[in-house]
Amino acid sequence: MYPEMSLVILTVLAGVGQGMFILLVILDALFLKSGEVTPHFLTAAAVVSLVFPLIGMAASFFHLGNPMRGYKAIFKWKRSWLSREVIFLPAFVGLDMLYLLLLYSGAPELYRLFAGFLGIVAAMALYLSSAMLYAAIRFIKEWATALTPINFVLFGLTSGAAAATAAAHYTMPGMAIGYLLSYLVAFLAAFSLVMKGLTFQYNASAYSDIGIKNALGMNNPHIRLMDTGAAYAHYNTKEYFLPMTRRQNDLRQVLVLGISFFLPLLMALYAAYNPALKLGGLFSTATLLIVTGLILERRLFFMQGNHIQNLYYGNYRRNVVQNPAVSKAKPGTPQPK
Amino acid sequence: MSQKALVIDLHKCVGCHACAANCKAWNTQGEAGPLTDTNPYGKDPEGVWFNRVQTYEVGKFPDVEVVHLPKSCMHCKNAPCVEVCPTGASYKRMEDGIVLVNYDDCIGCKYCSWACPYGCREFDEFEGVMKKCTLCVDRIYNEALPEEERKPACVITCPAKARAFGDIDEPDSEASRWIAEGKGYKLMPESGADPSNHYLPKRKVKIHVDKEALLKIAQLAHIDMTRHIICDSDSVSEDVAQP
Repeated sequence: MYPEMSLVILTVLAGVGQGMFILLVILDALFLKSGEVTPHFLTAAAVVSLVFPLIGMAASFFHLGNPMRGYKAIFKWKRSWLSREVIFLPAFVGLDMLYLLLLYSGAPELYRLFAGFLGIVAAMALYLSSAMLYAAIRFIKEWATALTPINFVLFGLTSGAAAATAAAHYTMPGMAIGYLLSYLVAFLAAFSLVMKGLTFQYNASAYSDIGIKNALGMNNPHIRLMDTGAAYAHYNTKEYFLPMTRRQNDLRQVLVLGISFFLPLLMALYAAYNPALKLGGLFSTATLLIVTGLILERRLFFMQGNHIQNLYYGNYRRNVVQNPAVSKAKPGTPQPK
Repeated sequence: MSQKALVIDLHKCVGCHACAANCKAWNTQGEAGPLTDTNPYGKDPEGVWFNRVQTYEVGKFPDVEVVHLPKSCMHCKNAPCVEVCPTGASYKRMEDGIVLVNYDDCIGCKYCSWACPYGCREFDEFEGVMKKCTLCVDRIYNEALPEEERKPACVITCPAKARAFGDIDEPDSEASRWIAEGKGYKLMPESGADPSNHYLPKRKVKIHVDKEALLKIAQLAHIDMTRHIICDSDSVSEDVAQP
């Protein structure tokens, strides 16, 4: 699929904000009374967690052909995941704002935590609906898997945790919580690294059951596209496909794993073994790396998605690493379609 | 239930693209139009088409045939594009099963085109809405047209008469008769979308070519066939098309 930048920015940045918000409400509920986190930190983190989804929301309008009618997208929430995403994104932003307002105005703890709890529910619902939007398309095997929602939540939490840790180091230097959070970042980054690795492995062999024989309804093993019927590229060859060589695919996979998870993992481990240091700069860098890496990751997520529509144009799975089972298979043995 | 649909005979289709061209010509000025073009006279012309024809080579030489596959919206009975539309702009009509887009409600998110397994929806960059085959809904009920022309533009124009239009749920319709007699099938039934458009497969054709008759015709046409017929009589008289 063609990676549209507005969607990439929306899903990545909203994910950072959601992850950060979830974490800071939990920290608020657990540690504010005992004084292990300061209101100053919570306020700063809540502001940052608001900025990310707002940028994402602004970007999402560039995806629409008719942004002024965007509000109509809430109508079919009963059946469309996209509709649900459109509802939960502003709901999350609104609850994030409400939480920030209650925190800033010094409202009773119960109200604030209740708003925070509702915000967490909205954030999780938003993760789920934006991931299911992709996972629900059963004609793209690389998307229609449980890995998609797991990864959306996991990568959002990882980036959010890194951003929250940076905020903790800046606003509460020398306090234990920043040190503890570096363990969390290390754990989440390691978990993400494993999950994305597994996803790349899954994608390399995710074939649709539907092949060119089914697409044409002809039971002949030799079917070759002779003419797409158009002299130039058009919607069906551009929206569903962006050419990428196998080498580029491999390189991008390494970059995604390295930039978004491996380097931040090393940084978090360094922080975990050096409790005395003030590491706001280190975690800001880690956050920047994760966000950059996730933008690459989301682009690759789109580009590795193979729509079965591509069968008609000879583009199906042209982008993805060949299944090792296919290249090793002896001639004449049945191959995946 | 009534379900209007197209039946396309792949055996008759010659791949001339007349259906696609006439579709574009009618619909760009019809109610579903305009079908806008990007850079129409420039280097990379590109535009919205409701109907596209792809050509495939099926089989291996010498048992090989060319298949032209005209493909437009299948008007699925279980349309996945309608299910995912967040605004309800994409809808399936109860009375005749035609899947349409209400341009006034479409926000241009392209999600329906991702959900379509056949790639039969195209985005209009200029109007910012998704467009698709309407089965010429502005022709088939149009009382300003003579009765015999109340058919989709692609059906009327097809020079090989390879297309039929009708109600596939009604056994007496032309479309249903074509499906029954020509062993009509659906593309990708595994998609679960239950497409309504049907295709009739290529058929085996055997033509008997008699060597004597051929030589006689050649004589009449003043052609020296002894220089052209280099094979023996057996292989001349057998076969033409393969299974």
